[in-house]
Amino acid sequence: MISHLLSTKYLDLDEILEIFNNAKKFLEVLNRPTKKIPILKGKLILTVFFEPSTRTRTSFEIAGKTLGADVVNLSVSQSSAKKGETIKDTCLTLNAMKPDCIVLRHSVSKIPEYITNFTSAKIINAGDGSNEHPSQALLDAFTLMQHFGDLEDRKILILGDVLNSRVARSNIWLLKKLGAKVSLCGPSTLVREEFEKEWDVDVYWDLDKAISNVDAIIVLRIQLERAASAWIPSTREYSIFYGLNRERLIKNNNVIIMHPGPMNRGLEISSDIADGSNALIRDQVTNGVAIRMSIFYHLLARKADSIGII
Amino acid sequence: MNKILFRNVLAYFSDLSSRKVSFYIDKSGKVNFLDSYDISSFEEVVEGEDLVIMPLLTDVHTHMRVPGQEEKEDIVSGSKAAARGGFGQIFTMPNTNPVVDNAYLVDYLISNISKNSVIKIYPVGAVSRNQLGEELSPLLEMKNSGAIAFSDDGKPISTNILRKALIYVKTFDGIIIDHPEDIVLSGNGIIHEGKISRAYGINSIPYTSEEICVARDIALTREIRSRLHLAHLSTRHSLKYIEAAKEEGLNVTSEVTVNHLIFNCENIPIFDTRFKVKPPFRDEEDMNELFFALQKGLIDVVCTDHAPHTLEEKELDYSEAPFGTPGLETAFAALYTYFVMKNKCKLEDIIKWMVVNPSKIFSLPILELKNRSKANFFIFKRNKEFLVEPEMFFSKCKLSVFLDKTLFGFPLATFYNGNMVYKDKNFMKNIKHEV
Repeated sequence: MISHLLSTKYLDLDEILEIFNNAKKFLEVLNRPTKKIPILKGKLILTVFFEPSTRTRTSFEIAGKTLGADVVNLSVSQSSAKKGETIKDTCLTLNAMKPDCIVLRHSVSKIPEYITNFTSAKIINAGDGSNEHPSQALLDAFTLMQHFGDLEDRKILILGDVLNSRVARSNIWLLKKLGAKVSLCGPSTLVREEFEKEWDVDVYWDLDKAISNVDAIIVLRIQLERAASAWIPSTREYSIFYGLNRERLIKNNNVIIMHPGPMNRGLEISSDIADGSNALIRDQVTNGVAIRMSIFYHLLARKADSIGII
Repeated sequence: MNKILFRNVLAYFSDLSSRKVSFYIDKSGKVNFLDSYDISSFEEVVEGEDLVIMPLLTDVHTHMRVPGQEEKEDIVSGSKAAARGGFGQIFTMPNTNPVVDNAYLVDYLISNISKNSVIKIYPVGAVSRNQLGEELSPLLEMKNSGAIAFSDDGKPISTNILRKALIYVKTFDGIIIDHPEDIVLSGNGIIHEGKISRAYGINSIPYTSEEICVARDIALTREIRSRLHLAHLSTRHSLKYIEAAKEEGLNVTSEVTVNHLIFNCENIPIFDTRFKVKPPFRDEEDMNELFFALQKGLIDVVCTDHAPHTLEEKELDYSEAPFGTPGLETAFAALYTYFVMKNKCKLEDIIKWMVVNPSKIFSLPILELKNRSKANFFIFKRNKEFLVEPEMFFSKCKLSVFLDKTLFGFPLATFYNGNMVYKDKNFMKNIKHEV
């Protein structure tokens, strides 16, 4: 069993399914009139975000509070190094406050893994650089499983800025573990041909070819604030060739559409698709809370038996 | 110095010969070869089947961090580190604070070195003023003050300045050392662009960042027919240009670091800042090709690119920590352990790469065992292993990439210009280490 949630690479299938099974039960809790169970009463969770985030942090906060934990949010606008403090020192300081769990987002890949050396708290990676965002991948896979039953041989397309996407990496490792066939599509600067061999996925640069016969499409956000913008000539050109719209999907009416948000409507996805009947984007948000409750439970309160307390 | 007898010790020479020799070092530090001797007249006798005497090594690429960054290294600590590693002469690069871009600073360095160094250190002057790549530095004046060569190391020389510099130094047969890197392509990359950078989404430095610059440098050397030395090559793709340049008879030489012959991006811990170097460690094929290129004579010199930093800087996270790692103390032992002991090359090859070729290229003296000359050599024991620990380093930077590894071939004593400039604490018990 994992002691931190750093990467979807380190999860084994039984553990993933256990997280999903418990998330189903937590989803029921979220639908109750009184949304509070005391499983994590007395536990202290810190969310430490070195990069701005609203939805991920709020989702973790709601998940922790619903389970009865005390959740303290720390927003660190500048990097610790710019403030003259190393990330190691920041973590040693936070650790001295005796948290049970630290939910960390940082702009540098692998920092959550690095800080496990300096803290006794359980670490949850809430996004590290362009590396991974495992809780997002878990909620994506959970949403797909909810819809399809299982993912064995399901064809999932990840569309967009794979190069700079932590969501894509975590999803690729996880979906493949669950038996799905993963393909990637985007401009060749963002979907490198080397991915095909190195990650054992199919690579497409032609969206029309890529979307034929897929069961689901995970649309990635074009991260205008990141370097992604330098890898494409213009957002206009991107939306013409890689934007997901009704005309493109005309031959594939049953495909499921997902997006980790926030969406750039009209750029990577048109509004009618984002709000259409095939989109599971709102389900992803609700499932996100349940999955994060399940992750907290898994790391902080799990016993051999199932969730008897609910 | 007390009289020391070396009896029947295997000595290697710069003509790549080797033979058993007996000699003593007299009180003035001179070597005297002997046919017969009376042991009782010596304070210390050194003998043993496994003992090997080597010419002193030359490192054409180090950073002594003087002036201005003495917290990282200074002439005392850096020269002792060099002596501990078996080096007798080293170059120190000019990317200091202030940049060594004028004769006054070259003079300052030379006087500092003459007071504080236990070995010979040659300053390299900056090619452009403040290394900005805009105006030529006073190269001739610096040369007359003692600059051995010119480089904007730490970054590439701008194209226009490199062309001018190559033309200018022709008149005095000067050598330009370039750090081949297209800094626009490198961007904010911190590791080699390849499988690992793609797997973890880490900003990376492609092969072409070096290759493009090597091609540019060679094109300019072809045009001007001047002398160019390419620093710290890292990719197999650069070698094609070097091969073509050598075939054309251009005066282009190059170097590779010891570390780039041993490490690649897949055999190092990814986020250990000791391994954060520029150029980054490339892949296994590059590493192997660099070694073949050395053996074929395409690459001429092995250097360390000894680049010490403070512990505090190296403790920053990987993206923030500076590039560079120390190497003077471990260079020979690492080459001996990883290559000679594994029969991938001979000691004579190391002499070629670290003694003969650097001296040929930069017109330096060869420092080796010679009758009736001041003692210049280091001695090591073939099968003696050492655990690399921070305490063994004279360099201020103890964050070696070889920490906790066992290496063979560490010098037991180093003699430079008749002085014993390094001695292992367990070697020659009766002789005090006098430097």
